[in-house]
Amino acid sequence: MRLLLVVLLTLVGSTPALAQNSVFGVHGIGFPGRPISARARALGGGTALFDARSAVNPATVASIGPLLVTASSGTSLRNFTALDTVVTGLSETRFPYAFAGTMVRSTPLSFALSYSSYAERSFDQTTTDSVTIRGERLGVVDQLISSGAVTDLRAAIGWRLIPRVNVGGAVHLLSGSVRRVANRFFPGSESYYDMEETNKIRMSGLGISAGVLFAPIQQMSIAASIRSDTELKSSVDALDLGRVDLPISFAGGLFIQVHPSIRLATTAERHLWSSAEADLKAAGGAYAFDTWAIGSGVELGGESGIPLRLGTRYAELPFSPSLEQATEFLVSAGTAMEFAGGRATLEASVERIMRDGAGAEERAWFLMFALTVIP
Amino acid sequence: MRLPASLSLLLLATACVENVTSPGICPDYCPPTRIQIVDTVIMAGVERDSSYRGYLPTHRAASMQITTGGTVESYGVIRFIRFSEEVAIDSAASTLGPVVAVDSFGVNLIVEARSPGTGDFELAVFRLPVSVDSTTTYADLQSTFVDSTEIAAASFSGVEAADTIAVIIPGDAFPTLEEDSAVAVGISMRSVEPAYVDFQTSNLATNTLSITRFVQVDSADGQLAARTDNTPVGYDSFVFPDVPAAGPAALGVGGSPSARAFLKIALPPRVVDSSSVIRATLLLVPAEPVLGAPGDSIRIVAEGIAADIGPKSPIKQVPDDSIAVYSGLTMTGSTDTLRIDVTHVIAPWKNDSNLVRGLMLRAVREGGTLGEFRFNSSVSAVGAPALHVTFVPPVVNGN
Repeated sequence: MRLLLVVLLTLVGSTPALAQNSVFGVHGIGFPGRPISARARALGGGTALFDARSAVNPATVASIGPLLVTASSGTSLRNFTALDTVVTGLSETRFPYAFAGTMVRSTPLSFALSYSSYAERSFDQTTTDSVTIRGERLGVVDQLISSGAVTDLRAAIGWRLIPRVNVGGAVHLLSGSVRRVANRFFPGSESYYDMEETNKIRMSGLGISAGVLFAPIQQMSIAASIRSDTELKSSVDALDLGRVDLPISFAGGLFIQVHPSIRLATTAERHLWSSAEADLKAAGGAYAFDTWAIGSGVELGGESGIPLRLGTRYAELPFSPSLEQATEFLVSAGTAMEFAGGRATLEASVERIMRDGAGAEERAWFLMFALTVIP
Repeated sequence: MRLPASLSLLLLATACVENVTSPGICPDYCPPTRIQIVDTVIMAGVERDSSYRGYLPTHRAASMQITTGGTVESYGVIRFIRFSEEVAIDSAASTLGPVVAVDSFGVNLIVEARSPGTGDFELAVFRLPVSVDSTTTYADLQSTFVDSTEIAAASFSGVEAADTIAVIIPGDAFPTLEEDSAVAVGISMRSVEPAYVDFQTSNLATNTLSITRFVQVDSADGQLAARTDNTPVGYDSFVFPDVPAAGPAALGVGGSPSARAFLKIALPPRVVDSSSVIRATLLLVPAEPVLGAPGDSIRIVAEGIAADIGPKSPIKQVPDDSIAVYSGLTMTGSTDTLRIDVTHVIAPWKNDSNLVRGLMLRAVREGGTLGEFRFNSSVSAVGAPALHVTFVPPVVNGN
């Protein structure tokens, strides 16, 4: 019970259901999230297709034994430069990922529920301008605030099909809300009322995914997954705000244990985000691009003790204000500690992230802590 | 287990630290959401309208307006409470004695407003029958504002609003004082050019209008001694000729007794329900030149109404310090369109569909001036009331 209490404390202490943010998240449906564990993050996402506690490949669920629960907290510290404007000191603490899974007794099946960010859309921007109303030139201050995200609630089932082959499938329920505030102030005029409008935009969508994990030899595994998401529907109250076509995604990866204490993993992902562009453009939005992402990592350390995890990742970003596609490069590190006789694991990862392109440059630190317990 | 629990508490502490505020870098790094402003005149914005008279009768107004030289002339009328039969002989007022002789009377008047840019003026005081009351009309008093009843006159120069001016009346001005114990006076204005002056009336809580009597009494040692006593106002008002009625398609605001107008507003839902109204101006086209004292102005204020029950609709009062913003000012004789800010009435309708979508127009200094604004009603073929609305359409979109 104390273990569960710790998990609950971690959950309650964070703003729910949000993840890492970015200046590039102003566009499109937001900044895409990564449904992976702290371990996978520390390894640059290289183990995303092999890690049972990540939500990329449902086949990995098949390897889950007794009930385990994971909760995590992530803090980002950001600076960015865009079109000669330098912004420093941005910070957020979020709850990016949660996971629970267990095997089904006397069957080759396991199932898992996970909760992650699909796209984060939080910003608070203030601009000054002047407008002409009734023949009079007036200064205005506009404030646009967005707070919220689309979350990905996944229900997955894994099947130990035959020895060394696991398959899995999952259903993804995309939902979320964004509190959108638009204010316009007329600081130099008493003739005009300030405009303040607040809306809660609700979003919903569905997705399915499937994956396979195959270990031809004990020291090596290969994995692949595919995911197809439908449309993200947006509405305010009963008003339909439109929909955005969501991508089909593919991923493939390789895991090698070259030594009992050395594990290497790499994962490549392809997301066909360009399908969203027509819908985004129709709403005055941004360009959308198909993306590649590849992450690799090495984990040093045995089954017990404190491992050292190192990783790197390169990714293209899906949304841009121009025809130039921005990219992201990161290096990562992390470790883990076990407690309570192995029934609790505390993991930490740190990422140094560099995003560039489309006239902006962003530098960020992302710190993630995760606690996994086996009640 | 101690370490993870402590760590969770640490995470709790850091979870509240957040700063996502940044300047907007537009258009590249701003969201596609744009705040747009629409400015339009809605000609059919007033659905129904009507006006009613009698809200504040002339003798309940806070001021009386005395004019000369204009299209309408008006006189002040003041009746004072009866004087005491005896006055105090000693300073402690412990001993009373009869009045032996009356030397004079003094009346102090507080100026509320006067015609701007005009020079000296003279006030003439006339003896009126003590029977004057709210039923007394201008026609009734025409025969009393003549030379034979003029009992005093005083010239003034450099008078401004809030000044107090005094008029001295001879002691023999009221031959019937002994029987009546009361006096009533009429006041008219004389000026080289058309002008007006407004005096505060006893209806104003701060006003202490009274008449002072300067008398002689028998003192204790058998000598005559000068003493004073005074008595407050029993009735004060002003009279003027009947004003021609407004046309059938015209509505009036102001005048005395005062008239108010009620307008039922019918703006399109996309403006009043979905959008944010940031400025709304009511446009009223005069049906005839503005009535009033020469050089005077009339300020019309628009107020929301709490319930639509016709002429007795309760109003949602505009604070006094906002009158200058939420009102329109026009001059006597003007035929210009009157613009009145009604943003404070219309803007709240978006968030509360239960609010009555109507407004009421009334004059400031209500009932105390001749000023009346008559405008074309919604049934007028031309020049019907319109609304100039500036609004921000919904800014929300899916991206």
